[in-house]
Amino acid sequence: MVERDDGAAFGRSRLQLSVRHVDPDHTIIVLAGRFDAVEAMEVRERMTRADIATAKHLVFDLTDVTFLDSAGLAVLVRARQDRLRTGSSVSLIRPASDDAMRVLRLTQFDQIFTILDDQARETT
Amino acid sequence: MTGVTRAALRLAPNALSVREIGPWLRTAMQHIDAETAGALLSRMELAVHEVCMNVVEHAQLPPGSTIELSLVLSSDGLTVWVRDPGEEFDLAAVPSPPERVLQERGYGIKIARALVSELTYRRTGSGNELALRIDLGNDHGGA
Repeated sequence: MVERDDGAAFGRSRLQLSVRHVDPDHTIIVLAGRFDAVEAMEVRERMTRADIATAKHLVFDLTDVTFLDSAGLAVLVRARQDRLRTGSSVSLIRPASDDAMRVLRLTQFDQIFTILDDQARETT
Repeated sequence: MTGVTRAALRLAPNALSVREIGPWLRTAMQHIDAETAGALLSRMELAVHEVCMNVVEHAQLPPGSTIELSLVLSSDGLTVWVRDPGEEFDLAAVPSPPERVLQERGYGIKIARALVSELTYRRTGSGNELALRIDLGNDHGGA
């Protein structure tokens, strides 16, 4: 995983991660590239840092995620379970990739998580 | 499509090595039309990926062992065999996550099953063999 601060165009070979703090309670995690078992561990570790761990409302922007496996899904589940205990929330911005979106449908994550369209990138 | 393509791949049992599956499949499909290759690749790569990660995490492989992959691509479809020397695996006993209940584990085999036309298992001596097949000409798994 490579963390970017500038939100610039991402390469696709490794997972890129950037964090946008909309306000003290709302944080957007922008992921781009391959969100698989190799990257999931690093994302999970990154989420334990205070700037994300204390955010009540998280949005995972999956627009540019090109490959999503069960390990990536597990990160989303953990984030949601952690926040549901305290009345907070986790939402997803819909991946542009048909393959990544298919994984969310096959597992019914699309019926459990709130899925936002990519216009939410600008308005969230 | 004419002829039959065969290929093999040996993987170290770790998540990083499992990333070799996509390029291996892509190379095997380079002579077929792009639309068919694209549809096959996206489904089979993730299905095989999930099966291999299941081996990595649960098969308790003996030290120094590897995961052996082979494929046959023909006009009928694509079959990939995943073989490992790990503990016996009861595919039929793998539970599917409950409807609309999130859990961190248990989605890998569910995803693999949904993406292929058929997923079968057999014990081969001291090892396991999973076969994943996608028939050409149907749209199974395209949900």
